[in-house]
Amino acid sequence: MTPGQRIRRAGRRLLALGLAAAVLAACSGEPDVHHRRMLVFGTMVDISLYGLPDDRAEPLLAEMEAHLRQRHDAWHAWEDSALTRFNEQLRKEGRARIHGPLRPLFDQGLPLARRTGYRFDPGIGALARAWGFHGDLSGEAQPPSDAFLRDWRAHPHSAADLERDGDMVTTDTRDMRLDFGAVAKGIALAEVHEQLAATEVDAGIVNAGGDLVTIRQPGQRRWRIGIRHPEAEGVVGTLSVDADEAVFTSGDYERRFEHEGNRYHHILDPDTGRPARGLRAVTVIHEDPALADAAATALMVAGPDDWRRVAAELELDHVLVITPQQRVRATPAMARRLDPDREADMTFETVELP
Amino acid sequence: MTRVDIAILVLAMAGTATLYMALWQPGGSAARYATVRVEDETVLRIDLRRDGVHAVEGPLGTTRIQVSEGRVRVTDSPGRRRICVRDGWLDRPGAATVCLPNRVVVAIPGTTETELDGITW
Repeated sequence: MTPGQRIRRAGRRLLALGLAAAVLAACSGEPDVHHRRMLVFGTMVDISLYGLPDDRAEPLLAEMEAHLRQRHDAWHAWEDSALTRFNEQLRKEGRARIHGPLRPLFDQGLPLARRTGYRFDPGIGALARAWGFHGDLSGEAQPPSDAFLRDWRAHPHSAADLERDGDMVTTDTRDMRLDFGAVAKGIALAEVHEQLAATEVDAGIVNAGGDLVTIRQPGQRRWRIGIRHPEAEGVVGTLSVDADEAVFTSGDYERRFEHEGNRYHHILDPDTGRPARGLRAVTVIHEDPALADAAATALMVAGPDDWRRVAAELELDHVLVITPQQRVRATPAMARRLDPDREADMTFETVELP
Repeated sequence: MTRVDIAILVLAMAGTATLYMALWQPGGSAARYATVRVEDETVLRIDLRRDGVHAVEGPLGTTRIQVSEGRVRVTDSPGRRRICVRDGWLDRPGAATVCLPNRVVVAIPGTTETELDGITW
């Protein structure tokens, strides 16, 4: 072999090495994912979209953000909004007209309330307000007086007492304020899902402060969603979530305050007028985010004795509850989705629905 | 073995070492920087390899942030419940905490294949 041949052979080897290095470098590249975080609906909303070029993803993310902000502004239960103006009119005149952006709230929220047996009840705005949950809980929050709660239990407000005729809503209940907080996020995520599913995005996930919806799936695998531990760091387990499903959790650790050594959380039982008792958290998977949202609240209110019956009435398959006794109880379909975290200090059991 | 062969071997080893240093991260998930947003505006990008303390101003006052050993945490923020302070250290891509009263979000960008796609609560 002449020196010239050796050099050419060396050159070819270097070229091959260079190509191999280029391939390796390509492997390390970031996946084609676009994120956007925004503060809306009183929480952090995080949208991730996979497989779109920059010039398509960024405008789409901006559009979704604008949509969520518009819903937030229209549906807010205590700051000036289309809903609070509706409430003012309803309180003054006993009747008010549903218009524009309020339609999805009423069209979906009222039937869902009925389906949950009014365990999720948009009629309890005045109660939530009396508890201080219509605020940032930064002041000296405290429970309403015993007299107020006695009066509430004697004459509870309920959306069941609304009459709807077309767009006109009337009620005989004095001082009724509607608060769709337990379903607003679900309805908004359903809308965002519908819009994103109509695009060419490969996959996506919208996580609104622990309640989320998936769009398609990431490649061949399923989505992996952790369930936060009610008090410790980390998760109690990981759920396998399919394309176009919603995962909603209601927990007693979300919005709450302490008063004289007692903790009070924001999921109020319309019957007792007090925070629901007996379950720490409920997680529901369903293809309809609005139903998943309302159901998570309704099952918290139903409590340890009734949640299975109510879940069956709502025809839910995938439900998981966490009890104060550190038990994770899952329906059979949910148990198949769950990979428990064995370090979570929880007992796991499967329970059938009636 | 000729001198050219030795040269190629040396080059190959150097190339591998360079790639290793450039691309290898422990567990593929070492966080290198964190972002701090106030009112949806990124106001700070913090190098997590440099220990130190940072402060950002939100509508209610000052949120204080500490970086140590590649991790970041909020040490003080206005608000009664101070959830972001209680969240403690963030050290993995995708981790984030939000000081909602003061509209501050501290986040380590990115996710990794082995991590979760999200958390429900």
